[in-house]
Amino acid sequence: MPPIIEVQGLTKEFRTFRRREGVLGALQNLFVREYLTVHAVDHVSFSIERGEMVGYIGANGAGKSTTIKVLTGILSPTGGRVISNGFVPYRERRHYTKHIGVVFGQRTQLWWDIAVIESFKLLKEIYEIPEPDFRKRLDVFSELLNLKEYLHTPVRKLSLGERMRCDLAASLLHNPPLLFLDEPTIGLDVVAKERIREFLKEINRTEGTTVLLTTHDLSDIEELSRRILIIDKGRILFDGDLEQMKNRLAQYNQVKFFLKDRTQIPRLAQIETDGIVCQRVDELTYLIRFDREHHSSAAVIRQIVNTLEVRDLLVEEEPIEEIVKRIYLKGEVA
Amino acid sequence: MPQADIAHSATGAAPSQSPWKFLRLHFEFARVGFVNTLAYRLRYYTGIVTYFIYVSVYYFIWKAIYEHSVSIEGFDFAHLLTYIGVGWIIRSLYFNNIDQDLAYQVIEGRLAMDLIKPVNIQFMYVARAAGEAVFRLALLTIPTGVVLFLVYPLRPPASWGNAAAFLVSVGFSFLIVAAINFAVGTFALRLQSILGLLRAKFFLLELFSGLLLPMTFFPHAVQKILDLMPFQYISYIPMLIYLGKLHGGGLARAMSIQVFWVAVLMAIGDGLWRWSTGKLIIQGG
Amino acid sequence: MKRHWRLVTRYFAQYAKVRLAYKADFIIAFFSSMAATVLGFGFALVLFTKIPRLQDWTFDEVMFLYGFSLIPLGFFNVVSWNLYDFSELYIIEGRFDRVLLRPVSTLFQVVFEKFRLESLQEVVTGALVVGICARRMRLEFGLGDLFWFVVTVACGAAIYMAVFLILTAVSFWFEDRVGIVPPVFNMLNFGRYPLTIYNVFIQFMLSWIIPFGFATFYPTTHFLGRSAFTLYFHLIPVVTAGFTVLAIVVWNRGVANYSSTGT
Repeated sequence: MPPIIEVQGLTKEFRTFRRREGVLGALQNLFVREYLTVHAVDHVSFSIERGEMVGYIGANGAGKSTTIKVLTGILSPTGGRVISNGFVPYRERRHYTKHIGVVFGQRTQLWWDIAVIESFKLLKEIYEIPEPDFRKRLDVFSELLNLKEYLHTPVRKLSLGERMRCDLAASLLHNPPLLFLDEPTIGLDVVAKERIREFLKEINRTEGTTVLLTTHDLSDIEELSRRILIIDKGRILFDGDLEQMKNRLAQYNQVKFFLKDRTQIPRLAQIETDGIVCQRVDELTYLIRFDREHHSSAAVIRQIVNTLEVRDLLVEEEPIEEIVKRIYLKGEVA
Repeated sequence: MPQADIAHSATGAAPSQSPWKFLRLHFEFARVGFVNTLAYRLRYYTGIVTYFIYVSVYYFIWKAIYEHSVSIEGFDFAHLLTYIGVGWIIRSLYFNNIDQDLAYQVIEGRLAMDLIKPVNIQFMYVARAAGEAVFRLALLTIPTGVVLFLVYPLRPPASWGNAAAFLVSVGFSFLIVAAINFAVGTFALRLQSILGLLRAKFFLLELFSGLLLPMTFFPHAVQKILDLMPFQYISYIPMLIYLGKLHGGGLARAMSIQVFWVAVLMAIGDGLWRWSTGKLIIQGG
Repeated sequence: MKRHWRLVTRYFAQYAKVRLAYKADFIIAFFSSMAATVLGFGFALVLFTKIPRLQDWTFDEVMFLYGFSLIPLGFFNVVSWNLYDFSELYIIEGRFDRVLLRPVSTLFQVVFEKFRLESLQEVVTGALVVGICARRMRLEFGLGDLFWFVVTVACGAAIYMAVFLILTAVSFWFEDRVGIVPPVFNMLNFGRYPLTIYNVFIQFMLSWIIPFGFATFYPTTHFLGRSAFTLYFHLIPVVTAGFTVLAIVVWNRGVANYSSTGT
C-alpha cells in the first residue's frame, strides 16, 4: 500500500509587513509598508504510512501549524507537492475534507452557543453521515470519552478538557481515515490528557486511523507515537522513531547514587577521574553525567561501587526534553 | 479634586491619585486609542468618501426641495446647505464607537481586563475615544472639510467669535455623544446582542440631534419635547452658533445647557455601569 | 441541493432555539430594531410637513418607495449578520479555518451560520407602509403585479447580498477590522429617495456600480405606474444575475487569496 500522506519539497512563504512602533511608526505604516518574506516551511519532505501515529514537534513558530494547515487544505503551498489519501488537499479541498478529521487545541470547531449534541447533529448533515452510523459512533464515543453528562450543555459552558473531548468526538463522527491534531492536549490537566491519549490509542487500534499530531508536551509523543518528526525554522531536523532518536541524539547517560552514610563523602573525589564529575543533589545523593561515546555505563557503575559504599544506584537515559531542547537551541541535529 | 474622587469611588480600590497622575494616565489611554486607530487605515480612507457621498445625497434632496421655495423656516438654500454640510463635518469628529467597543469587549470576554484596572471605566473609554478624535480630526474631519468646502458652496462661520464658540461647543458635543454611547454600551453586559439598540440609537441621534434637518422643521409640539432632551445639543446648537443664529446670552445659555447634559449623562452612564457590573458579579458570570 | 436546504433549516432551527431561549432579550432586540426602522422614516415625515412634494413625487409615493426598499433589505438582513463582523470574527480570530475544513461551500456556511430573526421587523414595517400608501393612492394590484412584487423583492434581496458579499470579500485582502462595509451600508439611504433628484453621476453609480436602484427605485416606479423607467424595470433580473455571479467570483478569489497568504 502506498503511504497515506506524501509530502515532497513542501515550501510555504508568507509576506508580512513590519509594523513600526509608536505614534510616528503607526503614521508611517499608514503610507509606506515594509514587507518581509518569511519561509514558514522550507522544502519539507516526509511520508506517513496508513495506521501510523506520528508526533510532529518543533518550537513555537517552527512551521508546525503551517504544515498542518497545508495538509488539511486550509493553505496552499508556495511550492512542493502534497498527496494525502489520494487527494491534493488545497486543490480538492471540499471533497478531501470528508476524509479527514481536524482538531485545533486552541480553538473549538463546535458552535459556541448550541448544545454539544446539536453541534453533532449539524455535523451529521454537513458530512452526510447515515443515521445508523451516526448513532453507533456517537454511542461509542460517548462511552469512551464519557460525554453523556454534557451532551446537552452549550459548548461555551464546558471546561477546556470537556470541550476538547467533544471536539475529538466531533472530528471523528464521519469516520475519517486521517486525523490531524494541533496541540490537542494544550492546557489540559494530567487526567484529561491521559483520557485523550487512551482514546486516540483506542481509535488507532480499532479503526486504523492514521494520526498526525503536533504538541509541546513530549509525554504525548512517548505515550502515543513511535515516530517523531522534528521541524525547526521550516526544515525537518529529524524523522525517525523515538528509540532511534534517543540512540542517535542522546549525548549522555546519568547515574544517580545514594551514599550509605556521610563517611563516604570525602571519597567522592576519588571517582572524579577521566572527565567524570559528580553533581550533588542533596547531602547523600549524587549524580554523574557522562558522555555515552567515551564511557560505558558498566564502567562507570563499576568504578562507583568499587570506590564507594552506596545504598542504591539508578541508571537513566537523557530525558527527551533535554534532547529536544538541545535541538531547538542548536537548530540542527548533530 | 472632584474628578479624582469619581475615579476612586467607581472602583473603591484605586490608590490615591494626584490630579497630575490622573491626567497622565488618561493621556496614556488617549495615546493608545490614537495608535490603535492608526492600525485600521482603510476605515479612514473610505470615511472621507462616505462623508462626501452622504452630504451629496442630502445636497440633492434639499436642492429638489428648494426648487419650490426660497426660504423654509428661516433657512435659505445656502444657509441650509452650510447647516447640513458643516453638520456632517463635525459629526466626523464627535462620532465615536464606545458602545461598539464595549460590546466587543463583552463578546470576546475581555471585560474582566477592564474591571481589574483601578480607574473609572467611563473616563477610560472617553479618554480613548478622545485620542481617536484627535486622529479623526487630522485624517478624516479636515480632509472631509476641505473636500466639501471645495465642492459645495458652504459658508464660513458668521464671525471669529462664533467660530471660537463653535469649536468649544463641538467639544461638548463629543462629550455628550461619548456619554450617551457609554451608557448605551453598558447594556451589552446584560443583553445577548445590542445591535438593535445601537441601530435605534444611531437613527435617534441622526434625527433628533438636528443632523438631518434643523429642529425648527419639526412640528411645534415635538420641538417642545425635544427641547427637554440632550440630543439637539449635539449638532443643532453648534450649527446655530456657526451660522450666527445664536449670540450673547442665548449662546451662553445654550453652551451651559451642553455642560449640564455632559454632567447628567456621565452620571447616568456611571450609574448604569455600576448597576450592570453589580449584577454581573452577583451572577458570577 | 436538498442537502443544503436541510442544512439551512437545521441552522435556522438551531439559531432560533438559541435566540428564543432568551425571550426578553429577543423582544428587546425586536422592538429596538423596529424603533430604528420607524425613526428612519422621521426625516421624510418631518420634511413633508413643510413641503407638498419632492420634485413630482407625492408624500405617499416617497413613502411607498421607502417602505418598499425595506422589504428586500429585511430579508437580506436576516442572513447578513455574519457579513458585518466577517473580518473580525472569521479572518482576525481565525474562524475561517473551520469553515475551510468542512465539505460545504464556504459562502454557504458563512451566510447561513447565523441568523438575525429580528430583522423580519423591517419586512413587516415595510409591507405595512407599502400597504397603507397603496390604499391611500388607490393603487390597483392585480395578480401580475403580485408576481412582479415577489420577483422584485427577491431580486432586491439578492442585489443587497451580492453587493455586501463583494465588500465582505475585501477583508480577504485587507485585514481591517471595520473595513468598508459600514460606509456602503449607509449608502442604502440613497436608494430610498427618487433617483431622479440626483445628478447623472450618482444615478449612474446607483444603477451600475452599487446597483441599489435596481433593488428599490426601478421596481417602485413600475408599481406606481411611472412608465419612464420600463426598460430598467425589465433589466432587474439581468442585473441581479450579473451581480450575483460577480459576487461569487470575487468571493472565490478571496478564498483562494486567503489560502495562499494565510495567517
